[in-house]
Amino acid sequence: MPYLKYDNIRIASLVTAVPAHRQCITPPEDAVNDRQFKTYIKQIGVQSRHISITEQTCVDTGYAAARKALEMCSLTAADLDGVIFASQTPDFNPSTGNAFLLHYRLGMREDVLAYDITLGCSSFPFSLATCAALLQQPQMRRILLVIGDTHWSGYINLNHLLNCKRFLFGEGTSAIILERTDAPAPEITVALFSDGSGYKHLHNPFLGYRNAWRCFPRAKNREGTELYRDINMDGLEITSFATIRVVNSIKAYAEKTGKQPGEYDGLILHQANKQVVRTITKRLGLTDEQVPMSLDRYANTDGASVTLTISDAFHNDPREELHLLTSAFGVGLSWGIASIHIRPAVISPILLVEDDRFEEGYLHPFE
Amino acid sequence: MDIKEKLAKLEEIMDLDEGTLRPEMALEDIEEWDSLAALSYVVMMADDFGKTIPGPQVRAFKTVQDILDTMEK
Repeated sequence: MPYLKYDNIRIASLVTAVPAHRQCITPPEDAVNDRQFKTYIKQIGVQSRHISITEQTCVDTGYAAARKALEMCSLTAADLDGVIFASQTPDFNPSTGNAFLLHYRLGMREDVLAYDITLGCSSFPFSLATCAALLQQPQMRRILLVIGDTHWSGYINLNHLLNCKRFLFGEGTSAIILERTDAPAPEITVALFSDGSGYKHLHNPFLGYRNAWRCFPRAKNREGTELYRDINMDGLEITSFATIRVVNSIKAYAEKTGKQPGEYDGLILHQANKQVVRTITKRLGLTDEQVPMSLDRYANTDGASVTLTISDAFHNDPREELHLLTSAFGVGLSWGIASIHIRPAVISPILLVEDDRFEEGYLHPFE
Repeated sequence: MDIKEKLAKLEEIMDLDEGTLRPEMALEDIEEWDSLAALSYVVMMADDFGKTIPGPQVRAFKTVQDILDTMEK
């Protein structure tokens, strides 16, 4: 397995920002006794989530998180040598990545790198490893890593009550400042895995270029009904991938590193859904307390869910430093494991961002 | 593992009382055979039988007997 170790990188600050608007997930009255809905709630476990009501994107929440992250370590945008945005939802597509929009809005220098990593739920270990590798260059001191996706746009045409995806996802964006240290730092260890043959279990056949000519402006089925431009998710394949293959990799990682999952200060999993998190917990022989959950209040925020859960669970932890095991998995298929050291003092409480958005790039269709 | 033990395992997965399931029962008549149970089944097969059961195979099951047939090492 690709097994990457870095002993000169520290997390200087971690901020997760969510839109201020909180939405409670309650079944419509006629569905209270609906068995499918109950099963769904039991399986998904989302009770509320944060979602933008004013077309705010992950670049907007990412901007708020990044500003706070800089402020927390008394830095300015000029101190950053790069910005990497892990996202599957660019504000503009094609054209720039979200990283450029943040580069511009933060006022970063010109002699820096900016690009997106287009992974979804699994992006934390992958983008962490990318940043850590870049930081090995002597000219690179600090990188801003931003992880997040925009979800509200996916709901515009989703009126189907029991479409689980409708309630599964929430919005949140994390900003992490990673810094190379001169003295040796506690080790960051990352293991990454990919299986392209599983792409079909989780992808969107309607967006992108493969089917562009048939799906623009809107794909219709034989009856002439517009199809959702929605992701194709084979729930059983995805959940068994997460609970079997990912767990096997975590066990192999534990063997390689000589430290069992239960010996860390916590195992932070991608918040796929409640059943997946609890099944992994059980298969690894851990207790619910050892595996904090945030999806009941924030839903599944894709790539940001690991760092959001860290922000939620540890921002006021009294310990000096934590050694956390993290694992994230998703589209690709891709999955990764990363153990990190982080001081609770550098973790901000979750930031609620009022629904303001970047006006310059916004089209006002009704004016 | 004899058939009684296998049925007991499936009853546990579907959160049913002991003795509820019979091999000839059609899965579409069993409300408790849902996506939660399906994942529990796949995980149980990996843990107890060392087998990976693909999604399409699970969806093709028609009766309890179809599931029982897969529960061999």
